[in-house]
Amino acid sequence: MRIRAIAIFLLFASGAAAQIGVPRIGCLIDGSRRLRPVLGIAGNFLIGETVAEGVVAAACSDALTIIKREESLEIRTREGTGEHPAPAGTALFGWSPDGSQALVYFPSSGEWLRVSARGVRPLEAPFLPEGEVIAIGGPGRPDALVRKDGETPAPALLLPDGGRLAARDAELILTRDGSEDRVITLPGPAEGLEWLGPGWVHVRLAKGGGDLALSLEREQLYRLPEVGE
Amino acid sequence: MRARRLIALALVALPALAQVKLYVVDGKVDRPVGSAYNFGSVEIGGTIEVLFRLRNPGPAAAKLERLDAAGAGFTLLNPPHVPVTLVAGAFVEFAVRFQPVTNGGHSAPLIINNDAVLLIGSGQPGPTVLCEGAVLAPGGMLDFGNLEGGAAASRRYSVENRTAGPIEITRIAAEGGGFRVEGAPPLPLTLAPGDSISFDVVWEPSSGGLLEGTLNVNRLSFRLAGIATEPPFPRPIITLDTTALKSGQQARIAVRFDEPSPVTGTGQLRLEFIGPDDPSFGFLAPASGRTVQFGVQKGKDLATFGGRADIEFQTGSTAGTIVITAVLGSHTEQAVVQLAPQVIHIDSARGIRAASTIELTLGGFDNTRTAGQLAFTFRDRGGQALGSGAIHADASAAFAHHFETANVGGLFFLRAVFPVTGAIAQIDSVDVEMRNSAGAVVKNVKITE
Repeated sequence: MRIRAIAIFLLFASGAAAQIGVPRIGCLIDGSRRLRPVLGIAGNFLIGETVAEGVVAAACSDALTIIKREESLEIRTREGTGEHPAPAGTALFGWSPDGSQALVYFPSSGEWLRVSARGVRPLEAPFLPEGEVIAIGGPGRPDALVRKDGETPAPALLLPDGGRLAARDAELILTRDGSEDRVITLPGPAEGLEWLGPGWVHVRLAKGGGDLALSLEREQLYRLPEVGE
Repeated sequence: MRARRLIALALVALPALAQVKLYVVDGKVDRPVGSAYNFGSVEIGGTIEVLFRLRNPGPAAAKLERLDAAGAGFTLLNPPHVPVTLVAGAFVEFAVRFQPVTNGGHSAPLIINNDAVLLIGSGQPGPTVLCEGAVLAPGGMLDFGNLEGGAAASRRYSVENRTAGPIEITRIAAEGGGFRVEGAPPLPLTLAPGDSISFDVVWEPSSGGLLEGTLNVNRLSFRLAGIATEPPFPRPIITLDTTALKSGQQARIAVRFDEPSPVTGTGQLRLEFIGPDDPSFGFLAPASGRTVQFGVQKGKDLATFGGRADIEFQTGSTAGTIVITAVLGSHTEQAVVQLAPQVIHIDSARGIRAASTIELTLGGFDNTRTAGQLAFTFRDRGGQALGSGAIHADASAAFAHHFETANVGGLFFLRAVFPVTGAIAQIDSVDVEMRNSAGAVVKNVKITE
């Protein structure tokens, strides 16, 4: 057996390579189209102060904050911020498992972008779904969930691991390859599913029922603090 | 010179020349009143009130210098202060009450400046109203005494015709103060001499205090009054959906009662934290903050929060004491829950291998806010420690600064980067040991690409 020499150093004391901060789950958009960070851990959340306004859609991870405004796309990374022109209206997002990359789809134009800390570029060989797209997959899984004719679009997300999450009445149906559907009971019908972070889903309940956070890893629901208008 | 004096005289005289006209307000319509107004026939002791308007229909201002009604049975109500000038089209309102004191015709002049309109009406024998055998005088008050809110009291009334002729009964009604009539016969009806009818006046106060109402029989009015006292609310019982509450949890609070509440009302539920402040501690839904209202319905043994049977809250990430207080009526009930100091809770952990570094990220909370000593033991796939064993670091100052300045309770996020020389691919996992005043926790974190 050959044992290779290995040396490991902790650069904690220098401060340059270690840091202590506030844990971040992701972000959500409040009733006044302001982007608010969601801080904390499972079961202990804090809604942070507004970090962007006039937000149409957004997705946040440790590495990326993607902000879709009416006609622009802003990308915030640890290195800086960039703004790009974008088609009007909303955007759909799909995450890589580690949250380092995302796909962005603009329903108004059918355009796709790949976003990472290294920049924004159009998706090679863009996928052109027919029909109304209600969810997209992440990088490496450029898939799209399309509304069927005559079907009422139920909130849904395509997960970074290839699974699917859909809302049906007061239930969430979590579908993953090789396992039975997992049914998660909600306190009321959901009217929206959005990314809170790569491993977290923001469940907006209908009729003012409030906001929930679903941990995809634990497959467990938590109540989010009241977001306000 | 002469012409100018004439014009001046005309300007001064004009208001006095203009006339005000009397109208009776009939719904939304003003009907002009001629030389007389007839109030009709009213039972002796009964009242009728009529609203009038004095309007200036002319193009110039008019002055009202006198308004008076002189005659038994007629009373001016809320007359305007005179003199008063009415510009073109303006009006003043007042009412006249006719309350005949005797049988037969009544009249009185309504004097408007130098003119008069004759007010006429007649008194006629009316029904006799009795409460439990005692004759009531119109305008008199009947006291229902004290009653606890939520309860009901009733008194028996009768209406008799003690006159020689028939009397038509057109109205029996009680209004205001929680008073109502029950058991009255269908109206109108004609009461022959000597006949009588009976009904109940029921008092069911819905609020506390002195409550007043009116019983009307035809045009006879009787005052009704009583003092309602609130019944005591039941003692609230604070119920948690878990018996072992600790930091970093979400839980539900319900407020119950041993028996159905005898009264409807609202109470208050408060959360207090004894310990270092933690902004993540508080109610979540259906309301946020640390003080919420709850509703209590009569006949129910469970309070409601915005229609829900309980309210969610999160315990935060700091050790301390939670005091839950329910205030309902004269009751103040408390439940006290200790959030014990606990070892550091690592909620999420990730290790990423790069070309020559391992990046480790940890998220969690330290409810003692005393984190400091760290130890990292890198292991190969067989579990053997690599390098020279555990790498120790004292992060006390950094954690203390974070907890003092970040205002997030005991929450923390730690990112540490380890430069590696040698065969970095050998590193399979790392044992992270974190220590605080409650002890040490060790978490094995798998290293991924």
